[in-house]
Order: sequence, then C-alpha cells, then structure tokens
Amino acid sequence: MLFAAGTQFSFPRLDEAVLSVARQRPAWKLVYQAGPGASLQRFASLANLDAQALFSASEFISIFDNADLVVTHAGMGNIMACLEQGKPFLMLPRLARLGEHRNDHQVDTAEAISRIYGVPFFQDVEPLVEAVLDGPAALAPPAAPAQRIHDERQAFGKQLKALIQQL
Amino acid sequence: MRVLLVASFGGHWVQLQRLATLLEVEEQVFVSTAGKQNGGAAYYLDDFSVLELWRGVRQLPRAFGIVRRSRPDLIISTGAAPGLLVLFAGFLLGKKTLWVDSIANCRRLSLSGRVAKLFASQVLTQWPELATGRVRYLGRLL
Repeated sequence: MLFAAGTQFSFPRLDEAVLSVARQRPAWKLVYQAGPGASLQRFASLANLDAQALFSASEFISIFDNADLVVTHAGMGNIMACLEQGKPFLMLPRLARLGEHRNDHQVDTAEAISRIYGVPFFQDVEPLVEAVLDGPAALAPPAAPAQRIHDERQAFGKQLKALIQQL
Repeated sequence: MRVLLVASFGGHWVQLQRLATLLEVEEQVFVSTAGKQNGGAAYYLDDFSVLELWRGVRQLPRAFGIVRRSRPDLIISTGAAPGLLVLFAGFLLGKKTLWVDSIANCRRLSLSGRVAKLFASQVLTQWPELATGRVRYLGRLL
C-alpha cells in the first residue's frame, strides 16, 4: 500500500493516517512518500512502514506499480497515473486553511475526479483511515478509465494540432 | 516545427508529457525543474511560486538563454510559474506562446494562467465551464 504526500510540501494529516493504519494493520506492508520537510523519525519505530521524504523517480515507479492501493494527496501527477493504470486509489485533498497548500484547488480537483471517475475522496483523516482499513478488496478500481482517457486525448490532440497550425 | 515544452516537476510535468505525445512536430525540447529527481529535460530552472516574483525575475536571463539556444517556433507550458517565465521570455523574443492551464484548476484559472492571458498567443483551459472570450476549451487530458 502506497501513501503519497506529493513532492512539494509535507502533509501532517496524511502522516497521521499512515501512522494509524500502520499501527492497526501490522501485517500490511506500507510505503510512504512523506514529502520534503516531513519529520521521518516518527515512522522509524514501525517495522511494517518504509517512509522517505522523496523516493527517486525510478523507485517511486516500482513502488507504485506494486501497490494494491494508493492513498494520495489530490495532486494531478498521482491521479493521472492511477487513472491511466486503473489503480484503486483514495484522495485526501490538501487544505489551504491548515497551511497544506497555497489554495484549495486540491478540493476542487478531488471533487471533479470523484464526479467523473467515481474515485472516493475524504476531507478528514478518520473516515479515510476507516476506508483504508477495510482493505483494497473493498474498493473497486476506477470505472474503466482507460478508454475514456484515450478518447478524451485523441479529441484534444486533434483540436490542438489544428490550433497550432493557426497560431 | 520545433516546440519548446515547459513544466514544473510533478503533476504539471506529467500533463506536459501526455500533451507532447498528442503533437505531431519534428522536434520537442523539454524544460523543467528539480533536475535531481527529474532527468527528462534538456534545460532546468529552479522552482518558484508565482507569488515569489524576485525569484522569477532573477531567473529571467536563464529563461532568455533557453529560448535563444533552443530557437523554437512555438513554446507550450502546462505550468506553473517557471513555465510562465519561459513563456514570457519567448513573448519578449517574438515567439508564439501557448499556455495550457492544469486540469487541476477546475473552478478558476490558475494565477499563472491569468497572467499568461495578458501576453500569450493563446490560453487554454481543460474545463469547458472556464472558457471565456480569451480562454478557449479544446479538450482535456483526462
């Protein structure tokens, strides 16, 4: 199970979610990319948790590919990767009022992705942890996103090429 | 046609990569940030927020250098502030410029996107409800 806080800032609420899941499910193997500035010593005592501020790009890809479930901030990079690969995932959007981001665009993103692709998102840590503890098997992967993404991109590409000729 | 493609590391960079596969052009040159984690670009800038104006201005000579050396026919950015900076350098050098606002901004165009409206040849949003006279919706990556 991969938890991903993004590459820009730390994300203390996701730290809490990771710690809570790690304590309650000692048999699960958890990996956490905590983001630059995260205090990693809190995670050191948990044998089932491998936490780092940032994994290298190639390490991250391999962890991602092997994950049964991804729990992520509502950042577009991870969301796109999950949808493209049909990976089951949950989102915890960063909130500006808690100093987690510059503005609340992650809430907007999470709402929009949830509306279009039926992916669950959470405003608080507790319901997120409960959903994770139910296990990946309780979560359906996003509803057949690959064909939809392919069709959206083909249509966009055609329009883009026409625009570029006109500019 | 030679296209210079610019985006910060992270979600902006992922979107730029996907966008690049949709273009049929002879040459694509990439610019990004976070060179240590991100080996995929030909040129790099330091990351900064659009609110940190001085950090941007300090890198303007580098942005000019990148545009001059790569001699693009068109510059495209999916964000964020470093992409805006290269787009602006390109504008001052008389290049065609295209801003594609991140799909993350579904309620309001990003601040960088709103600045790009002031000079870019074209600004695109990935959400139809955000299209206005100056900002067009031509489709999206998801």
